[in-house]
Amino acid sequence: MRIALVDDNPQDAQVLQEYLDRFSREVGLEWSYAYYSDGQAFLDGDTCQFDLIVMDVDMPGINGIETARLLRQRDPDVLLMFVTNMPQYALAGYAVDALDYLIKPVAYGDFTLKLQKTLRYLRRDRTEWITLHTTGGMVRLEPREILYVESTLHYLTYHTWSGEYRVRGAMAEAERTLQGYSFARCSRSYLVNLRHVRAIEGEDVVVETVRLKMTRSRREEFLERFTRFLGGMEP
Amino acid sequence: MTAPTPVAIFEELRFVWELMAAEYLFLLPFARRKSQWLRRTLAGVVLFSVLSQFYFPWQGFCQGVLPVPMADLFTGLWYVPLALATMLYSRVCFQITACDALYIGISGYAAQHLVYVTVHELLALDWYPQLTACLPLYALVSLAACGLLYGLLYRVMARPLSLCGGELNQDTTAHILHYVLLLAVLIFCTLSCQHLFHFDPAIRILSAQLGFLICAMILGIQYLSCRNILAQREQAVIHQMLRDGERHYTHSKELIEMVNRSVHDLKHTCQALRTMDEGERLAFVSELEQNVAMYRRLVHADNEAVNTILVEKTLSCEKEGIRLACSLGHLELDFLSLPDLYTLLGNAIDNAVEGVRNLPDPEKRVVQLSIQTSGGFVSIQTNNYYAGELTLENGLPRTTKRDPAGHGYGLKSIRYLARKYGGSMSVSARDGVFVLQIMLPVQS
Repeated sequence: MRIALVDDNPQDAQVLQEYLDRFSREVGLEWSYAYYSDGQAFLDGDTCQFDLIVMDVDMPGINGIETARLLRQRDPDVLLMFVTNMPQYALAGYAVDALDYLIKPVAYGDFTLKLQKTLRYLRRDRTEWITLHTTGGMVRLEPREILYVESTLHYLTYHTWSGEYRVRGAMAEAERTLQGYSFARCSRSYLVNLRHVRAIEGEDVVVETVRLKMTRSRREEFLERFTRFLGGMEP
Repeated sequence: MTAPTPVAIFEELRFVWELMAAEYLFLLPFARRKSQWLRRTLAGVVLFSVLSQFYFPWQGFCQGVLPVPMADLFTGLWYVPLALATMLYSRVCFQITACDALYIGISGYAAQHLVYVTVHELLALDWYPQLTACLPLYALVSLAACGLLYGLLYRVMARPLSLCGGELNQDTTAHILHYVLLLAVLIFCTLSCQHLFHFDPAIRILSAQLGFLICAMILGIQYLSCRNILAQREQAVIHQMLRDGERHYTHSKELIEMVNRSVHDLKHTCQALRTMDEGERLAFVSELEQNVAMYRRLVHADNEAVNTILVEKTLSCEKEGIRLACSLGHLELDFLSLPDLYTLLGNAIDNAVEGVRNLPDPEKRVVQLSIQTSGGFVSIQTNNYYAGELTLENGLPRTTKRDPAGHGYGLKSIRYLARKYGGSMSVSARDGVFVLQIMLPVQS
């Protein structure tokens, strides 16, 4: 796991590094980390290599929230955790899709609990390529690109950001292909990517801009699967 | 051995069909369906239709081998394992406890027996025996009677059963014994009444009445038992909420006392400030500013109710040497009623505190609560360390306390409230970390 520590105060970053070392000894996990003393230096480097960014909010020059905003423009998915003195300032952190925040001075128990939370979400969001045998040829894509799968008679339609793909088969096969990637059935003909659920409105689930119906018999289980997804838990 | 007549074949088939239909009228609103339940049901109907025909070889065997009074008794006993097998089969199609399978079985058997007594004893054997001569008419009358009676029972029982959440009784020795005994009594009484009916024509009406009344009584018992259990559950939740309310009051009192003391101290502080010299005054003001900063860290949500709950919980945790760390994002919790919000957050925190209370390592005595609104949902999550074994049953931790009836309602009330607002809750215990996640769709 690769972690970036961005903090204008090197002593604070040092404390976190020591915690990381101690935790990796206890748990047996390997990390590598890089330290940046200001937001600009971090943005100028190779930000894609990191799994987790631990960013101080209160920094001279570009502050942590601004740095995060610029980071999000190029990487909407990397896990972000803020460190701050005053919790009020961290509120803005959620606007840039931060996972959580830590309040200085950071205690070891707190830090490790949040690290384990990070690991959970990393595990949940791990990405692989899958291959679909569509009517138009073989297509390779990541499960996260699929919004939902629709099943009609003998065909499956994979609705993705980049278009629709028709694959011959039944829903059971789609479930098998996408097992472990946070998909759940909201009704007999629809398999929804929980990552793309934007709202639940009564009997409907809104998947990005598409509204699908949840059948009564599946509603409870679908909502529970979604809750587990939100919590980064195993499905 | 002569081949059985069509009417005889029908008599055996209609028993399993009527019985399964009766069981399903209770199962469908109540039980959680397994995958492919419909296919399994159809397979079951076929299976039991075939099995029902084995009555004839069994009858032949009994009549041939055993002396007369015993032969009739043993022939009649054929229906007992067959009925039990259909009850067992319900576990193949539905996710229910063994006790509940028995509960449904008892109700189904009693319902079917009512049809049996009215149509197949009184009507077919006593009042209008010519009915059996015309098979289609006989089948139609049976169907109509089933439709009528089962329809009536469904209207009465479906609603309470659907509110049970898929489970009525847990599989404890006491419960199983209770239902096995009830089933045994039911079967024994109905078989005896049947035997009496065939034995002596003079007492036919009496024995039919007896059979009918016993079944009606059993159905009444089942209905009341279901309503009772539902009432108990609701009471328990209300109880828990009342207890939470009481604790709220106690803590509020303590807080007000704290404020009173602070005001009192403020009076002395003002007097002291008047008499201090400049240097001392500055030092004193710095100390006060630090205290203010610490207090501000506690009270920082944009929602009054949440602030109150969190400050109260933080202070009471501090008394026990536990840190409550709250990460709060944008809060849109106005759609929750105040008592519900309090119960939800209060129980979530209490549950986590329970987990860390007895941990030896002081660094691990921390509870993390995070509340944020992302898109159309409110997400409330607690994280805490725990020690020992934690097995999950039905999505909730199995209580290790000796009195299971009084505990574990904290998480149950959370689940109840989450569902009440159209959301859901789930827990996970892994790698020594316990996570509780509540999801509530934001309501405008």
